[in-house]
Amino acid sequence: MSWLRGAFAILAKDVRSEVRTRAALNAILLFAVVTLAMVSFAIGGFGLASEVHASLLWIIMFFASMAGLSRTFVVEEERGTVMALRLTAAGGQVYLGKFLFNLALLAILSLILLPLFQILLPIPRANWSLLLGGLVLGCLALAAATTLVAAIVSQAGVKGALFTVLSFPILIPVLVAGVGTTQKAMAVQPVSSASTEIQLLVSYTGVMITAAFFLFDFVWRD
Amino acid sequence: MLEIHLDDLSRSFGERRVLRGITAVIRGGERLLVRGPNGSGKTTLLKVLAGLLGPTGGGFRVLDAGEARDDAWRRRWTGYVSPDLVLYDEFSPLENLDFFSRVRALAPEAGRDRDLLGRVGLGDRVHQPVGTLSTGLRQRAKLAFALQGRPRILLLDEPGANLDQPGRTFVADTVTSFSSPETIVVVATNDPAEFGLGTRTLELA
Repeated sequence: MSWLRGAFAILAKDVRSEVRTRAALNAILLFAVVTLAMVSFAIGGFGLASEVHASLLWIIMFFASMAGLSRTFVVEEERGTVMALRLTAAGGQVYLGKFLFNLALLAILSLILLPLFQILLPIPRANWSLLLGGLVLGCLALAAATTLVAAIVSQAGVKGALFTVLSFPILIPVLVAGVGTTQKAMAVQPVSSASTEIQLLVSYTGVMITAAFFLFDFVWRD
Repeated sequence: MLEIHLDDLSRSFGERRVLRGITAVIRGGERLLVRGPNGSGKTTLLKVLAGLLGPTGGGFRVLDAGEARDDAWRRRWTGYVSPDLVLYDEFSPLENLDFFSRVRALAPEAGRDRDLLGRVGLGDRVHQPVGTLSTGLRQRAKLAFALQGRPRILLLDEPGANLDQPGRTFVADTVTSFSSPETIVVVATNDPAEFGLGTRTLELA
């Protein structure tokens, strides 16, 4: 229990720090809103196929994530606070705390992005339970993978582009399954039609979190 | 009794070998003073003992009553201060200590962190963000971080840096109070004013 309390303390610290500094949330939300506005100005008047609609949603989700999800580790490294964290916290605790923080950021992004998306690029009909379920599973998978990549990238000299470059190949299964689920939801197909994508997202998240708990100490320690 | 065994401990950075096969036993109640010129590996030795760096050759063991202790024990019972240690600027010293006490899983104790901050001379600054404190006051906050949870191994790298005379006196009093067989202090310094803190000296070339 004390191990879990430590992880939640790291989450609470990051939330409090984010409220005061807005280091990650501003970057993520600004990117998402600006991209969505530009896309809607360009193609807002045309009816979009569900494949295009779904792809646009996940493109915005992916790049908005890239704009901010690495901040949680990069800020610790750049400001030097990572040393105090290494002295007091186990690697697994840090991973879990940062994973939950990134998940919270993605939840906020989704809560703001989806209504805006519906206003600027309206989705005419959808299986909303499949769409929302796919988005939740996609966010879990995105957070699980990017938290591990962010920890690796934070120790590199050139951090900015490296996060996106390293994350993209790792996230291809998430993006393919996420777009597939959302496209089927927008084509008003039943949940069972997306069972392959759902299984992929669930197992990807499970594998990523399990691997992170085993490997994180190697990333986190010297 | 607490003991730290250094067994042919080495640490290299690429081709550059900083620590060269150190073998020693630090026994409980000892206060080891580590001296040596710049670049001799004083800070590296303390970082290895704190678990921040892994040795590239040999190793070290922490034995408590003959029983080897692991990383989790070291995280709970080791206090560490160095010039490159940084606390969270946007939080006050009290918020910093509250966070680290939760991560260290210290049992809740009303007023403990506030008392500690009072002892290091930050009693009237407990709510001021660390980022707005002077360098000397930040050093005091770092000392509070190191002393939190009554550590059994205290690793101090230039503990008197940026401190005024009362601050240095506090450091000296604190270090000399660690004299029981259940505690070990290692101080790395080149400041002649701190040479009296040790009961034993390790010279690094």
